[in-house]
Amino acid sequence: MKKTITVIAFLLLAISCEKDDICTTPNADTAHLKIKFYDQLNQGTLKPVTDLLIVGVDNDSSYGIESSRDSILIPLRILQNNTSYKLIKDYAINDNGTPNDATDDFATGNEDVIVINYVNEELFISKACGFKNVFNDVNFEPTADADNWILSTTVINNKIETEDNAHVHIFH
Amino acid sequence: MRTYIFFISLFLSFATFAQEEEVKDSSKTHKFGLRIGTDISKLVKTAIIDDYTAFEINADYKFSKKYSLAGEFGNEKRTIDETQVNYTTKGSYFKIGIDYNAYKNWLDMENAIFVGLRYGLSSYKNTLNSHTVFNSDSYWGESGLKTEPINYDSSTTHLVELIIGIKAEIFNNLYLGINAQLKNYVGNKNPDNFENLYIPGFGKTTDDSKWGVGFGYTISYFIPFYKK
Repeated sequence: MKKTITVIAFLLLAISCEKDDICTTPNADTAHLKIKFYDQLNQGTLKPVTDLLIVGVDNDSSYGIESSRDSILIPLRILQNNTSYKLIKDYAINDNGTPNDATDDFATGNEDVIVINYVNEELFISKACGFKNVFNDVNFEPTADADNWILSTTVINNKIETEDNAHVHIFH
Repeated sequence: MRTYIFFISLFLSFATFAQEEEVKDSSKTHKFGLRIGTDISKLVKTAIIDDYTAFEINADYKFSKKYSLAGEFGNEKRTIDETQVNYTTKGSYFKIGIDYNAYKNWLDMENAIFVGLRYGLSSYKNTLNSHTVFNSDSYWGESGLKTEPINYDSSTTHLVELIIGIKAEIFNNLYLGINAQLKNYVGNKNPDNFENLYIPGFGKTTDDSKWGVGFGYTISYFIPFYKK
């Protein structure tokens, strides 16, 4: 009987001795697309975009507004091989002369649409972190319209794996 | 009764350890033969833990008064649900080595307090049942959960194990044993874009150590071949 108890006690000990792993690996999360804004005339100089509103195409909510930033981080869709964003420069709400009536307000600003195409790849990090998505063969295209504020673009790194450095430069 | 004699003699053998080295008991006869058994803990765990099945046969062949050729052969299948990954590992292993019996038996019993070394080889397959892509930005509202199973190429891992334990005769030639194992893996080959998170015959791997421990509870039967 004592032997049985001892055996059971040891058994419980053996079952309960398992260690939990916690995800602490750096860069284990899926990276955002990092865009830096440069001056078109002086291409080595950073030039912030004023009042930039970022809205995903086919997304009901905006990703945010940056009053003056020379770089942005935007998320790409991991279940599709492309993502489009509206980048609206000098975004403002015009109250149409009636500050108390919001129904006739309209938005102003210069909207440029960017299209990013890529190939998704899942990369194993660790047991605790699982997989992250890596975007390969990144292609970045601004859509031409009558009044583009984006004058030219350069893809610096066509593989989006970390957010340490910019992947795309936009000149304006 | 014989079990009690074993434990009493165990105590006495420790008490008189220093003297015993001097005395040669040439009168005692040794039984040589094959002891074959199974790990009961694996059977119990198979019965009570979901997503776990295991079976192990162990054997030792006593070829000299102190040494036995010993080994284990087993199958394991285990499904583990981690936060980000749910995977199944299925495979077989064998371990082979030498046991040294440090216990001096009374009468013609074959009880053992043993220390052993093993080399092991584990061959298995990993299947990723589901996983979640780590994507903390929820702006696009995409679930990173993927439920399409992924089968990886088979893995092999070489093991080194130190085992200590006791085997006590409870009935005629029937033995009950407890053992503890300290294990390390060498020559572990991970599949492409995944890691061997569970190794049959070893257990779960962790990120920061290649060491593992295990416990076994064996029941085995001794088949005597000859006496000397």
